[in-house]
Amino acid sequence: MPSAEKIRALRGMRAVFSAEYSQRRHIQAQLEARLLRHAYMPIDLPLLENTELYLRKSGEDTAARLYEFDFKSRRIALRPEMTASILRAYVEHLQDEPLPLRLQYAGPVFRYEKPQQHRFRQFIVAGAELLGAAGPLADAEMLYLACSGLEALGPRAYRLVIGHSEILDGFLRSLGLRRQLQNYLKRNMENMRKRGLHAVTASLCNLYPELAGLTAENEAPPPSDSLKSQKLVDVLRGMSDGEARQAITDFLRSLNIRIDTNRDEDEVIDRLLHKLREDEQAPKVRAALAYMRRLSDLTGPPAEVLARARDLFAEYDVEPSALRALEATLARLDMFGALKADIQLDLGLQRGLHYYTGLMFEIHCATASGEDIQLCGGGRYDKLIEVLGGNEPTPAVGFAFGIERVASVLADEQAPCPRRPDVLVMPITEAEVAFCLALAERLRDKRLIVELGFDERSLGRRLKQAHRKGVALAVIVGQRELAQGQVLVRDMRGRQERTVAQDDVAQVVTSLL
Amino acid sequence: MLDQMAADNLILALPSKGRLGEDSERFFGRAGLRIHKPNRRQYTATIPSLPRAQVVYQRPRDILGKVGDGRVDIGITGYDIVREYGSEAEDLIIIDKLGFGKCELLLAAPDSWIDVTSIADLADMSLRQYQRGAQLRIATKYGNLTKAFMYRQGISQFLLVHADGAMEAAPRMGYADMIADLSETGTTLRENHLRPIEGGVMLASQAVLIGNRRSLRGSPAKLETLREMIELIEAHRRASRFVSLRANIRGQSIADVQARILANPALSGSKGPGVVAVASPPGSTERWFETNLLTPANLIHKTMQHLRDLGGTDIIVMRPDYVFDEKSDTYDSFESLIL
Repeated sequence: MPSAEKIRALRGMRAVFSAEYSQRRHIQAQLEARLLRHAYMPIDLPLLENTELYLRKSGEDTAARLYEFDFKSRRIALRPEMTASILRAYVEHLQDEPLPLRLQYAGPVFRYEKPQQHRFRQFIVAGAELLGAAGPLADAEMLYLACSGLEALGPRAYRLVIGHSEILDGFLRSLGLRRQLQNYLKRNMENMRKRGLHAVTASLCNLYPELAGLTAENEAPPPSDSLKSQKLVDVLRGMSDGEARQAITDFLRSLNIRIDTNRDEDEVIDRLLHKLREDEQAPKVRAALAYMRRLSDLTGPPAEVLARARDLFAEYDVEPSALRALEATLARLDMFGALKADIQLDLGLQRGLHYYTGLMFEIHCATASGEDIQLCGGGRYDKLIEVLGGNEPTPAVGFAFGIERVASVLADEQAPCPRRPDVLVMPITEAEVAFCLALAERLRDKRLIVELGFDERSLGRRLKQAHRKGVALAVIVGQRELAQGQVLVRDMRGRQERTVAQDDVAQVVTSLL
Repeated sequence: MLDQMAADNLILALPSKGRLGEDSERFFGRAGLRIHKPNRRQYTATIPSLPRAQVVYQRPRDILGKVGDGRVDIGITGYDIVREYGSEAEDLIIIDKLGFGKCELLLAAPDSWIDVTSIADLADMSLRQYQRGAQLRIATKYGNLTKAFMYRQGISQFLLVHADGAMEAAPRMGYADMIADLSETGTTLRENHLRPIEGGVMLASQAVLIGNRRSLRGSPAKLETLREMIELIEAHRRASRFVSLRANIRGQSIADVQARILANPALSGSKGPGVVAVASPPGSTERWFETNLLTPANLIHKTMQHLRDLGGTDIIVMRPDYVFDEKSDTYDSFESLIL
């Protein structure tokens, strides 16, 4: 019979073996200890949540990457990040706790993305949340914690990139753009930088045919058929809600068109009216794109970027409170202590999530091969607790590290060696087993890692295997040794052997290690 | 069933029934790969001109699965099915798009939704429904593609209702608000009072030839059979774009006739005219030459007129069954995929 087919790991999922495992544990332990000293209490959260938790506010980018499934008539998702779960747990259980609340977490998250180097579908995040504290000092605490946490692990130089969601959001809101368009533009800020204005405009027009005029250099006149219907729209705009609704209803009746088939007639007419009366979006989108293009250049050292940003804000008549907030945060960060970070402001910074309402930041670092990767991301989300059903508005700010990514930038010497067994205790025959078990326990009490060497193979084979594993010492017990109250201690590194009295084994072994 | 077949035979899965099945059979037949099915009820067949190929019949969805995990080497299925169900099949490759079975996967809403014409309308409407405590329900058998498409458009508040067949009736029967389904001409949609949403085409689909990289890579014999099949398909498809023109032309010499034809390079065949001398009967005073041109099908009349103007007659136009190029592009790009 042919051997059974191998079952392979799922794509983007992998086993983590000893060396990497201990490095990862080391990173997590360091971060946890550091956060704990700042009074961030660890909490643990379920891997599975209601899908709805991630649809409310996470943004479509996250939604599209969810591991989501129907199970027993429920929509369930593997968590793609931790913040939503933490805030859900806060709303469910912790609203009576005194604020501010400092929490930390670590654990695997799941994202359905194309697996690449440094990108798996399951990975570990570790981070902190500060709930119930607003203002520059709270923001600075987050920045400081993230940076100093990383510095404790000792990577080479790294970059702290800081932005503010209101810089773009505030402007888009003031334009009165439709929500969908606002979200689309925010999602494409990064694209604008990478692929240019034309690429973004083209994909925008593709998605919203009504914006087709955007591609033209100058404002294109609307197509002729929409000019004709424009008159009708103008008439409807001049009517009151009641009149307009009645006019449309009468019109449809006179044509014998029924619209109450599977939706409520009032609902359809309301939305139609809303749509007809909505301002034309194209000029607003044009203004938004021009502003975004300017923002995309605003990146670099804080003082310089702030100065250029003030000019831009004055030109566009944008209220500069976001700039003042950033300035205040940077001043507080300075008070926390010196950091090795190369600090940069990036006013075009956008992060895939829709829930940010203020500070946003990322930490980047170069790998040994010179590739720039993101290690950490975070920001402020003051509305999220309310969106998830919280009793009252509660400010919140947090960050998360990708542990595998942090591991990938740490030099090998910064990684602790995984521990190997110190001693292999081997009975030669069945008769010595009881003695060996007791001896192994005695050695373990001395905090040694002790492996039992019993199997059917010859002594020589067993010793050879132990050598391959990197075991330092072997304690061999045969019938003769047992009778004489002795054991054989073999140093696997130098291959010397000596006979040791049973009572002295622990002491000899310890001295040899 | 499958393991009784010779290990080096190329196993080809074809759709067992339906339009895709009939079209596939016709497609192979026209390419000179007639399928011989000894028994109507049997689920296997052979291709007499490719003795080292074996045909098995499966449902299109199963064809994807079996090719995906290598139990079958190659198969024909719909591109829609590959995209809906095949995203995790690492060894699956698309060898060729076959040009038949064309249709679109699209979103369609009831005619009565006079306020919804575009995706932007749909996004707004779904949000309003959600705020009122209802969710937009979309009936589809393409759950993965629909979900991904909606998220890409910034719509996240909707519910998928899984349905198989007769999707178009769902909105009227009340178990969904709208549908995401395949449409070839739009007739079925119209008959059911449904209308495509502008910008709501999620996928343009057609029949595709798929293969398993792993199972093919390991067998030179299978690859040789596949190359023969691909070459015939490709040459047959190319042949439909060309005609072969043959004419007798009066002239002085081969060089003279060639030069006069070449005076119009666009009408001189793909690589220039081939000209041979015709043996004239004794006593004849005129010298005749025969030319043979391979010409794009849309230039038949122009080329014929060009030859006529040069004194050409007996002009015969033939449709070739195959036109082979110096190499097979399809096979070459396939080879780069499996290596």
